[in-house]
Parts: sequence; structure tokens; C-alpha cells
Amino acid sequence: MSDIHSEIAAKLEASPPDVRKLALKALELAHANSEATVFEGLKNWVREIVKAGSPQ
Amino acid sequence: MILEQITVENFRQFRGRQSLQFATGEPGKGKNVTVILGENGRGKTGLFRALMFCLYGDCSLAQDEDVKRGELRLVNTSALVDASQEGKPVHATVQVEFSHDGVHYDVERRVKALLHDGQPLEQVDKAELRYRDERGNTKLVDNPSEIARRLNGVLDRRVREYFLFDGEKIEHLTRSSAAQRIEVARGIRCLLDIDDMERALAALKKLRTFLGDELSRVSTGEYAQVVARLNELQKELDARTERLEEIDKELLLAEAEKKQLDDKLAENEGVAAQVAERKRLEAQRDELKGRAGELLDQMRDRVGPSAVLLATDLLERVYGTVEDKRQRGEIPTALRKDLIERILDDEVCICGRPVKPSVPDAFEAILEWKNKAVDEHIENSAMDLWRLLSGLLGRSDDIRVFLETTIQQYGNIRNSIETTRKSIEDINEQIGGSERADLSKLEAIRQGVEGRIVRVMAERLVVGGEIAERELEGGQRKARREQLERVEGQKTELAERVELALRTYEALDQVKQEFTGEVKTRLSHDASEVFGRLLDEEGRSMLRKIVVQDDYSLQVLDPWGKPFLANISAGQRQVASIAFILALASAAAGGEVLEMPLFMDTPFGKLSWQHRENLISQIPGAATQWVLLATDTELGRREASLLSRGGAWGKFHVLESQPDGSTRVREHSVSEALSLLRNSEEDS
Repeated sequence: MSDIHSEIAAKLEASPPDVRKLALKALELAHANSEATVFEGLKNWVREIVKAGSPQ
Repeated sequence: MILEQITVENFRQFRGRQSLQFATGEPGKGKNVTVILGENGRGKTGLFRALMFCLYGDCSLAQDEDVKRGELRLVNTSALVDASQEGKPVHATVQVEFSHDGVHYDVERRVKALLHDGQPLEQVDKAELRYRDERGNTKLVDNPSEIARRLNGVLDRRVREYFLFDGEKIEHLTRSSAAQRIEVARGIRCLLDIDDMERALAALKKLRTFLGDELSRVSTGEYAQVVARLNELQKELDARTERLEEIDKELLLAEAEKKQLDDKLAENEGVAAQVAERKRLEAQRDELKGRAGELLDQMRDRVGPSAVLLATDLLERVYGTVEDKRQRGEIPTALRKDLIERILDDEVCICGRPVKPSVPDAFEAILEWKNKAVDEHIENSAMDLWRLLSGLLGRSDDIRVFLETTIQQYGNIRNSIETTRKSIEDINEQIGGSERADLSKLEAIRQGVEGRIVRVMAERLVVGGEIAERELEGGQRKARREQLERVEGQKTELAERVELALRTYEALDQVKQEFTGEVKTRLSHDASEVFGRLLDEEGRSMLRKIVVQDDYSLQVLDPWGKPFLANISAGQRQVASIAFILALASAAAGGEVLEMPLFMDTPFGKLSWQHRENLISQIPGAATQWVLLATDTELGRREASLLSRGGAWGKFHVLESQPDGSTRVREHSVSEALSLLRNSEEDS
């Protein structure tokens, strides 16, 4: 990812970890994919992140 | 993108196959400047055209707008005539080799031409892109849309004119139409990678809606209703926010259209003065409206506190009563009731005298005091009331004076708006009633545009209000949903996903707003800094700052912070545009030098010597590569000597005229340049 993406990532530092993780995944996917592909990818990621954050 | 070589064959002035290498040294260290010298008509613009044709398939340039379609030929005319005599077609080919991010690219485009009934017919018949991947394997792409996609990834076509341009036309960056600005703004967002963020946001919005619908489908009872309404509100908000963006674009376009119509009308001497006066009146009307709006906002802020004015009479009466008592010394009393009662119980005054019925004078005097004395808490409350009313009446006076003055000012402004409106209408009627049909027609179109602006602005207000209503209801429903989730004791995993998608969208949107704001501030700061270095003395005294506006168009401010773009010279416009390009390139590369050439046709035509001197000393270190296509009047010994002393000049090509009228590219060493170039005016 470019320097600009690093700047954006730094700005997300203050966000809760789950929000930051999903936002960075969205940016990473958007770097080389269409909006539809990013959406499909995020459907899985949001499930994974919520599962990982829930008490087992 | 680092340009390595361009090869042209039977293209425009270039007959046969000829190649030209570019200097590719590291900026600030190696030699990265290439000069291509040629008289007018020798093919400098032909090379610029060849580059744009090869990279983007452009058969015409922005400067060809006055040339009729079909009149512009890419194929060398004498080669075409010779080939047609043999009954054969001829091919014009351009091949460009460059590297980008460590990958080597080789692009080739070809036009086939033949003479048919004496008329030349041209058709692009080949487009190929070859690149070497990370394993060193060469890949071939021959699908035009795939070539366009790959090259767009190197340099987005919407911003190509920021890096590959005609120096004399570059000032259009400060003059482009609203529609072009919207397109260019998109290109700049792409260059700055903001488009990635926009794509991520669009996908998150879609995710939020999708998950919200899912949650609504599987929920029951009041929770389901709240979730469904929240989804609905979100969709309504999205639609209205999009509409607001569209409205802003529509307004921008309509304003630009109105300005164009005004310019056309102003070309006619008969109405030029009226058009100018109307422009002045409209600016005055807009300023008055702005001030009226500010006054309304100030009055709105005082609505709550001004309620006190409704009770002024009552407050004054109560205050008067308490104040009378205070003036008479009844409050606060000199003797307190509890002290009098103790004296009566003890039957002894504090001075030691007896106080009892058997001493009637002293006893009755104390009884009289007792009747006048008030309970301590009543007395304290009365004093509090007095202080409160005193402050309140003082404030109500301030509010009354403020409201009276503001209402008066507002009334005066409304009257001025009305007077200005009538004056504008008079001018509208005068121009519209012109005996010249062309003028009255233009005026009718203008009035249509003006009507559209008024309608769209009214819609903007309505949509803004609808957004505020939905945001308020959304907040209330969200609170209720959270309350229901607490009552039920746990949140479902799906609800957590909805919440996460929503919070992520909001967080990223916030980051985008911050980031784009910072980018514009940084661009303005950097462009102003470069502008200051590139300007000549005269420019520095008149111009202070470049401001990058919301649509990424430029404004130049004078020392007093007032917009001054309309008054600056063509050379200063060119310098402002170059300053912006360098700032943009630096921002896109995260403060480094962006791997992108500055390919400038006719770079110095409109520039003063000091501007040239500044450009020559600054650009080689600020751009990856600088390619100058100049005439010997633009680039004389003086400029060449300065360029040569800078140490970055690596390649020197001269476009030479051939007996058959075509052009041959001849490479010379840089050291030969001074003997080939002529003295510039300043030296002679």
C-alpha cells in the first residue's frame, strides 16, 4: 500500500480495534478490486471480526 | 512513468523511422532533462501529439478544437502520396518505451492511411502493449480497452494534461469549465489514491444496508420495527446526501453556463455595459442575501433567551416592589426575627436593659420590631429574587436592543435586496427586449438558467431540512434499539455485524473528510511555496498565495487575501499551474518526487526571463524528468547556459528540416548546444 494508505491507517489508530481492522481490510481490498468484489470480501471479514471479538 | 524512448515512423512531419532517447537520470543527482529544439512547424507539437496518440489513442489535442474532424492527419503526407502512387496504403507508427514502478513498458500504435478519390482516409489498425513482469517474462496486451486500463493505472488519462502539456495551454488549468473541473477533480482523487477510499466506503455502505435488511428480516416485535425503520431512514439519508452532491454539481454547471452566456452577451457592445452592471448587481444581491442569512442565524440563536421579553412588565413590577422594600430598608432588616424572639424570651435586651410588659416603652418597641421583621429564609429569598431580577432585566435590555437593531438591519437589507432585484429585472427586460433576435434568444436562455439555479437552491434547502429531520429521528430510534438490546440482555451476532459495518463506515468517512481537507491544505501550502519560488519580483509583490478549492481548481490571492486570478498575466497563470502540478506530484508521492515526467511543449513562450530562470533552476530537482520542446527564441544561449550549469541536462535533440519538407531528429551533445543556439534578446 502507498504512503497515502499509511496516512489513512494512522488516522484510524484512534478507532476501536474491530472498526480499524474492518476499515483497513476495506481499503486493502479496494486497492485492486471493484466495489462489488470489495463488498463480497467484506461480508466475510465482518463475520470473522465479530466472531473473533465475541466471548467464546 | 520515466520516458525512455519514442520512435516515430511516417507520423506527421517525420518521414521514415526515427527514434529519440530521453534523459533518465535521478532528479537532483543525475541528468534528467531533455531538450528538443525545433523551429515552428518542425514537429515539436508533432512529437507531443505522437506521445498522446501512443499512450492514450488521442487522435487530436485540446488545441485542435478549431480544426474540423477529419481534417487532421496523423500520417506523413509525402509518404502517403508516394505510397498511393504505387496503389499501396501507408502506415504511421508511434512506439513509446517507458518504465514505471520498476516495470518496463513498450507501447505501439499504428494508423493505416490511403488516398481514396484524392481524399486521405485514416484508421487506427494496431495497438499493442508489451511489459516485462516481475519474473522478467514479456507479456503482450493487444486489447485496446485492456491497454487503456493498464496505462490509466500508470497515468490516469483525466490528469494526463497535468504532466504532458502544451506550456502555453497549461494556463487552462486555471480557466477550465465547471464540467472539466469535476472530471479533473476525479482524476486528482485517483492520483492521490482517494478513489480507493471512495470505493471502500461505497462497499461498506452496501454492506451496512445488506446486513441491516438481514437483521430486519430475522427480528421480531418492536425490535424488528425499530431496525426496519432505521434501515429505511439510512436509505433515505443516503439518497438525500447523494442528491445534495448532485445539486452542488448542477449548481456549478449552471453557474458556469450562466457565465458563458454573459460572456457571449458582453461581446455585443450594445448590451455589454448592461451585462457588466447586472453582474455587479447580482454579486451585490448575493452578498446581501448572505448578510441577511447571517442576521437570521444570529436572531435564531437568541430565540430562547428572548422569551424573557414576553414577561418584561411582570418582571419590572416584581423588581419594583422588592426594590422599594430594599430602598425603605425593610429588607434586609436591621434586626433579625430570631434575635428579637430571644430578647423577648430572656426579657433582657442585648444592652442589658429589661424588656418586659412592666417596662411598656421598651417592650412595645420590641414588639413593633418583631412585627416588621421577616423570617431569615424569606428575607434571603427576597434578596436572591432582587439580584436575579436585576440581572435578568439588564440582560433583557441587551436582548431587546440587539433584536431591535438586528431587525432594523435585516429590514434594511431586505429592502436593498428588493431594490437590487428590481434593478436586475429592469436590465433583464432591457436585454431580453432587444431588437436583435440573437441577443433576446441568449437572454431567454440565460433567464432559464437563472430560474434553474433558483429552483435548485430552493431544493437544496428542502433536502438539507429533510436530512436534519432524518438524522434526529435516526438518533432517537438508535437509542431505542440499544435500549431494547439491553432489555433482552444480549445482542445477536448479526446485530453486532450491522453495528460494526455502520461504525466502520462512519469512521472511514470521517477519515476521508479529514484527509481530503488536509490534502487540499497541503496542496495549497506547497503550491504557494513553489509559486513564490517560481515567480519573478513583480509577481511576488502582487501575489501571495495559491488556494486549492473544493473542486481542485485554483485561486490566486493578492497580499490582502483577495481573489486575484482574473487579473494575473498569462505567464503568471502558467507559473501558477506549474506550481500546482509540482505540489500535486509531491502530494501524490507522499512528499517525495512523483515518478512522472513533465513533458512541456512550448514551455517558455509567455514567460519573463526571471520566470524562465526560476523554472530552469527549480524543476530538474522537483520532477522525475523534464522534457522541453522549445524553439530557439524560447531557449537561447542564456537559458541553455543556465540549464547546462545546473548539471541536469542529459539529452539534446534538434528537429532539422529536410529538402522534401519532412523533419529529421538529430541528437547533439549538450556541450554543442551553446554553439547551435542563438543569443537571446537579453544578451544582444
